[in-house]
Amino acid sequence: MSHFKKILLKSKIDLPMLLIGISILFFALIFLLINYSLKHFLLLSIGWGFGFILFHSAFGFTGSWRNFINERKGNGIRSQLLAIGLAMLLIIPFIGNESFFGSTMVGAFGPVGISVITGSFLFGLGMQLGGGCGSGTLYTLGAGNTRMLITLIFFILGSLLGTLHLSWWLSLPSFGVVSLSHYMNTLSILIFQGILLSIIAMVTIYYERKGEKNISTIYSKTSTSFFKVLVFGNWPLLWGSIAIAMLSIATLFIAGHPWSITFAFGLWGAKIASQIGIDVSQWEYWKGSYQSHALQRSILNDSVSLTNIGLLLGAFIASNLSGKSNSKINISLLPIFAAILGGILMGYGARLAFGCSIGALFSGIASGSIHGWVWLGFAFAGSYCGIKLRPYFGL
Amino acid sequence: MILFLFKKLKREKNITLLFLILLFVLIALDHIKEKNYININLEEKNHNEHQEGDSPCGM
Repeated sequence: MSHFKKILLKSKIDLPMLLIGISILFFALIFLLINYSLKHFLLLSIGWGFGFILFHSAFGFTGSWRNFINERKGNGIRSQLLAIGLAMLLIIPFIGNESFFGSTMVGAFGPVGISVITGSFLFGLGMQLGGGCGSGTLYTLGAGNTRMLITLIFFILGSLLGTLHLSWWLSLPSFGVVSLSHYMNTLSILIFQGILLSIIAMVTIYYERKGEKNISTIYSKTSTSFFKVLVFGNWPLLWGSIAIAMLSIATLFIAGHPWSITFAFGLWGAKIASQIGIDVSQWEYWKGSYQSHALQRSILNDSVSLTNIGLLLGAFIASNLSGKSNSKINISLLPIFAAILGGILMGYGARLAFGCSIGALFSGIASGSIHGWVWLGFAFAGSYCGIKLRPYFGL
Repeated sequence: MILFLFKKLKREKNITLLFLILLFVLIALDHIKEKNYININLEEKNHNEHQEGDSPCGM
């Protein structure tokens, strides 16, 4: 018996579900290649990669921030800082150049003002109640967490409401877009932001040491073979950081913009609202060139939607490879309320803040935009409040 | 039959699968709607949907 067969037999793969997942992915990729283009095919593939990596490395903002606040365990945060640092090395120098498909590559920039401050705080609060951030909601839903379906439905509703009110929020005091590229050259931005990321990492180590615990690491060697870990999961966080950074760079080069999640939720909400007779095209937000174009065309023409759909499928396939059991649904009423409230807060907050932990924090900082740093500070404060509220919701 | 389906829907991954199928049905309807109602001329079809200077999360 071959080594590969032995591993397969020993693993707890949910084979029927795995085959369904792979079949859906395969047909979706072929459909895109025939009816759309290679770019669409690649974007779905990248999304699939994100879902696979996020699940196998358990890479998430919500849980790791909670681990740090509650238990002073900072390895999750440090893995995120590493991913952002690696991504910015190839994102900032290439902004303004031509992508593989001919468009100009743009960064994720947002204004520094009341809108982003309020939105990021609400998002941080919501992600602790909802149980996941933008990427976290998608990958845990894809992996079979039913409560996250409730979170996602209300995330979409909140995003739609956010698009309705965004113009009012933007009329409040703001410094406008503050890009570091206006003040320093590319090398200086990389060094400056690298120092800031390192300082935050050092702060997490300081607090972890204060708790008189061993410092949690982002990499530990295991006796399990590389292939087995790669396919069936339980990746070290270091692998996740490197892979996420590489795929986010690939997103920029293919889509022409950095990795984003929550724009698609607003779009999906707007599409559904249009179907039930609400003319969202008259809302200020949907009059913008990118937004109106996305609204008019099929969801399959929206790069963010494509990566999100791929992410769901990637997590679904990864969870079935890992042998995650198909457990019975067991959700009580209070956590459902938390999912509803968390979803609405995250959706509304993400629109006000020009993105979630991916679109604003990850891609914002990796683009050299100050709003990404502002997002980090206020979302962390919101998360702290959200963590304190969790017990009231039975979480 | 209904009882069998109800029993299946008590499992978390089955709900996810049902959601994925529903999502793909909605996407297919959206795709067909675009094909039917929007007259895309060849020039527009070949045009990249990404507009210069625009970003989904940025401004």
